[in-house]
Amino acid sequence: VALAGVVLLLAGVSFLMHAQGALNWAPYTWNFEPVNVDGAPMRLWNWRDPQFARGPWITPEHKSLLNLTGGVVPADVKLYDSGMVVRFQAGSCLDPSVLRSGWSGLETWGVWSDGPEAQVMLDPKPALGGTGDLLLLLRATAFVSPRHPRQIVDVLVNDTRVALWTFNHGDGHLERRVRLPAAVVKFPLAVTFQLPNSVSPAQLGGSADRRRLGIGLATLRLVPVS
Amino acid sequence: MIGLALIGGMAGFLLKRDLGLERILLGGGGLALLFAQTWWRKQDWRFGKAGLSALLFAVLLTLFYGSPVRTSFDSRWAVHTAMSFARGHWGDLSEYMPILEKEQLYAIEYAKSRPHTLFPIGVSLLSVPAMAVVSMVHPTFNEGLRYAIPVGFEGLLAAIYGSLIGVLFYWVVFGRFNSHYVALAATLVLCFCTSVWSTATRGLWQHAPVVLMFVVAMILLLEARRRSSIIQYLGLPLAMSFISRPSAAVGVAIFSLYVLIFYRRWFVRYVAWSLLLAVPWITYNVLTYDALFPPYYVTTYQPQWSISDALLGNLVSPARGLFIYSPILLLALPGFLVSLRERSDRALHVTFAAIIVAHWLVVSRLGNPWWGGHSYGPRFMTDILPFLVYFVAFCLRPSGRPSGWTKGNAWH
Repeated sequence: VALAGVVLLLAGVSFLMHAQGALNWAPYTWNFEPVNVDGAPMRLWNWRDPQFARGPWITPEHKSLLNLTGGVVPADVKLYDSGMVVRFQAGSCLDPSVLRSGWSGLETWGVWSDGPEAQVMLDPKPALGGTGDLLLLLRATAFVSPRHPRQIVDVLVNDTRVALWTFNHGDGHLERRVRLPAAVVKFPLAVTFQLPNSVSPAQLGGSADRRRLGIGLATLRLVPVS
Repeated sequence: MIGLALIGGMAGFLLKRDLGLERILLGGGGLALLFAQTWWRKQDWRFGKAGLSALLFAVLLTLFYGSPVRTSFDSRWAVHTAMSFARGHWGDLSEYMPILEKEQLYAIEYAKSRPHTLFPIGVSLLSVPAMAVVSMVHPTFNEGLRYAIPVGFEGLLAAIYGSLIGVLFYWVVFGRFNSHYVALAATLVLCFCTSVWSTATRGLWQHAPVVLMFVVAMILLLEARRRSSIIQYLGLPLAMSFISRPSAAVGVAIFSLYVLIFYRRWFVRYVAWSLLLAVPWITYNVLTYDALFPPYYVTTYQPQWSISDALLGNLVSPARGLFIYSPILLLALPGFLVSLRERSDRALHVTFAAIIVAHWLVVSRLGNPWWGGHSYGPRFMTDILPFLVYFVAFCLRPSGRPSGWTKGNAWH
């Protein structure tokens, strides 16, 4: 009986330990909070903050089985390779007429807007002609910092407002998407970014950069919606 | 009935936001539990070995898949790579560039200007048949893969591997002890009291296929006690384990030595069967990387920690200690000592123990880093769990029960 009791006790503790790892997301935050364990391996021996004791309960986001896109792409949207891709990196052979106004120079990662408004001009009619609605996909970032934590971006296509985006401090590069109704799709396509709270790093202090930074573009894609 | 209701309720809670297939899984699991309860109470089940295996598989699949944590970290390209192989693109992930770029090319390496996963391809190769099935059920699956990481589907595949591990391990232990009680208890320990639950079934990491192949190897080794010719096929699961994870080389080397010593007559055939997988894999490596092994297998580095720290940490660290997270495995030591009393299987048991110790030494020295990066519990010790729990099973027998080897009749 005593042996059975010991076995049950050990099994019970083991079960609870691994239930934490299989059912609760909280112990996984231990890997990077308060600091990344890979940079501070002494934490592996900290009995005051053992990984298995992390709480409270955090229910993991339940990822559905077959909805692969996690709701990012509307169900009726199918993306095609035939869409055009514009890369804004230095050395990417970008047609200079695309960056119509309000942009700084190309950098290795992409391009910053400079000023309260920036415009991209596209003429992809040969690839996308007669396809109706389009999906505009941007891989973008924004100038945000602890002292300037939010950047608002008003997006207009051919003078019609199609989206209002907010970038927050810590977002990094995001893929932003907006569906363009066929009614606003006329070529050439003028995509305007209005940046009401763009600001220069110099204004925030700690930098000599006087460019008024708002949105930063890495890539842009236009694809038809079927 | 109360226990059944509690388990059903927990599963229902875990799957409260579900899809059709999940409902089916839950329903199947509930039905399986009902059968299990009937069987335990009446002891007159008539489903046979296949029925019991199916029942156990359904229960484990439900519980593994129903456990909500998904750790699609390093394993995020496993499904994409499997689909690439299924479509004849040989691991080339160019087709999935949108999601690769979105993930900032994490764990992607370029070979001959083509993006490939940095990690071993074993788990993806095993998953190729699943890609064919899902493509039939869900024709736009591959299109979706270009823009997303299929965390839910990856979790399902990992749960399937975990369930297979549980079912096969059940028959390993039953074949050894001829007791459904011991087999079920040991299976529950392996599946829910170790990193099989918290690591191997949380995503398509390299661990699930290695554990699965080691359990298959255990079946062949134990069956070879009765029918020696079967040992030649040991080369197949061991080769697959190495294709899945380089640290499996420990098991491959020690088992090969065991075959060479105790089954010398079959050693050449054993090597030949392993070459059946090894040659295509090496050919693939040469064509893809211009090398016999992928870069992941030959990366060298200088550890920034002391070996004693790593050795101790893998056993008793509050973050990665095997015996902290699975104290039930402390019983493996007395279990091993008990197992040595049986002369006929002593060499095999020493072989299992040698793999456990050698693996511990190797991952402590070569693991980069020894704590396995961002993970939960003793991830690097996952691969040797079947051997440890096998020894624990010696302590799970009701007292006074004979422990003699059944000469295989339990399996037939």
